Amino acid sequence: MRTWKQLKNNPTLFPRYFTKEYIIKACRKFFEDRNYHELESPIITTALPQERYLDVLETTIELSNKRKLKAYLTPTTETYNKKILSAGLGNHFVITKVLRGLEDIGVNHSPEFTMLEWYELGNTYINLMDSTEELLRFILKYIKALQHYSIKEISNLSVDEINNLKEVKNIPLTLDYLGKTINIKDSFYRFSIPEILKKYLNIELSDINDTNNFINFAKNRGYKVDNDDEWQTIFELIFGSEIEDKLPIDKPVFLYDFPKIMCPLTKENPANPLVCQKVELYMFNKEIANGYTELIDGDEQEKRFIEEQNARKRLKMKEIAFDYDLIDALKSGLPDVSGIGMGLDRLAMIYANAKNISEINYFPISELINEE
Amino acid sequence: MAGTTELRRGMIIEFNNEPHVLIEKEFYSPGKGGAFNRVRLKSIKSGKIFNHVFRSGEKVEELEIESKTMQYSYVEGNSAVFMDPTTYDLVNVLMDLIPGGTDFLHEDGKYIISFYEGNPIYAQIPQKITLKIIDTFDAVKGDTATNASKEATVETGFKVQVPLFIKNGERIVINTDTGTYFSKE
Repeated sequence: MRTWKQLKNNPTLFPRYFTKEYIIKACRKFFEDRNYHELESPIITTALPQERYLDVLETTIELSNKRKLKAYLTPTTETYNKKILSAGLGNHFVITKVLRGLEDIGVNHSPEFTMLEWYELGNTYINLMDSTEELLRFILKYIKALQHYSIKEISNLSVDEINNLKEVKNIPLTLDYLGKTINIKDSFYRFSIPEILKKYLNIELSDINDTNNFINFAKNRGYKVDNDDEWQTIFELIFGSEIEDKLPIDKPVFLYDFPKIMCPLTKENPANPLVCQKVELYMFNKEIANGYTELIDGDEQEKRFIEEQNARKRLKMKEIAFDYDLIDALKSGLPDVSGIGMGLDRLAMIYANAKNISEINYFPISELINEE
Repeated sequence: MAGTTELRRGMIIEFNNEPHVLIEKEFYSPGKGGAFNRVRLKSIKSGKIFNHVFRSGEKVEELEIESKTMQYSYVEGNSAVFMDPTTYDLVNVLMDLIPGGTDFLHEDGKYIISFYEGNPIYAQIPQKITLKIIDTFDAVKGDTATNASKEATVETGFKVQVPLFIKNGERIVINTDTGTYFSKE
């Protein structure tokens, strides 16, 4: 049964679906309170950042006089954020749909999803972790406040005023998810990838940083890998098989300092040249957010995009148009900045205690694929 | 040979040269290293259950199996007994080869039992099943963080999140794929 029909039969199902709406409202409130601009980014684009595993949806716009515009449906807003930062916009956020060309759907995967991206001028990925913690706590208080007040009643309140409402001030900052409790009150776990590799695989990153060494390591552990496999694929295979499920779930987990090959748009970590300043947030073993201290060097970015473009050819991934305009923007000068993207559908699953991404969207794509 | 997009629960595949039942499958694509399918396999020979990640595009050998639609009868030790409605033959299926164990076993449900070399190796459960609520509390506004749902226990002992208006004694439809509330009967 389509979701709208279920809702028509049982209107009390609505609160679960309100969760994403409230999260979006809370995010707007949170960033407006920090005086951030909201950037509206386009869905249709004609050039993309070169990333070897980016799956994109394509379309063709038929213009008059048989002119055709080959276009993509935006898989990430990052290029717009950087161009506008280069123009001088400063701190800002985006809330928009992004699209990916996935071959299947999953409990955590839909080809279209709602993304929050925000950029903090002069900051690094460490600051992003701090803001993320504050944002997730505020979202919970905001949702809780809406059990006592109408949207209109709290619309004029500041973040501090909402946090200090008597009904929410002292609530437990915990989320009940699938029978477990996630504590978001205390600092989230922060583990670097080299630490994780040591802990779960008993290996140093420096020992497997070379692809051939990593291939041999994987083969010795019983993985079916080929000699021409990419470092990232082996990492994801091992991460998905041996690490992801073992990450703690009693608090959210930040993983940071990813191997350089996994982050073509990220600044290196000066303290360890093998890694970049990239962070990912995991809650209940789900990847929720992905942020970087942004690479702002145009020449270095161009070099890395060319490497990624070549890798796409090698991997027989769809060729995607090169975004020279982005390189142009970076070369014209970009301030030091960090940025992070957060999947609001997965976040809504956790706040609504829903097991499947289709259970928090009014019009889930699963309804189109699994027609009853 | 089957592609990874054809993987499904209850499928019998050859893995490390031995037959295995695919108990669960989840597609995921982290966007950094390609797409994957996380599966839970049970070795038919050793009974060992483990997780495995298939890379998208890998080929998997599917094994031929025989299957019959049967009725659930009762639990016996760590297995469930199903009956062939035409011959009244009974077969025992181990709990870990039934998705959800006893969670979704009910006399009214139809189960497709797979056999490999004559032995029952998997029970495919109906995608939706109607069960009676035997325990839930009357919700009060503000009970949960999101005010979205409350916990209820159904007659099989399975616990499920249900909308606040659902009461004790009512029958609800559960989606067995996700283990979640689908609708009131």
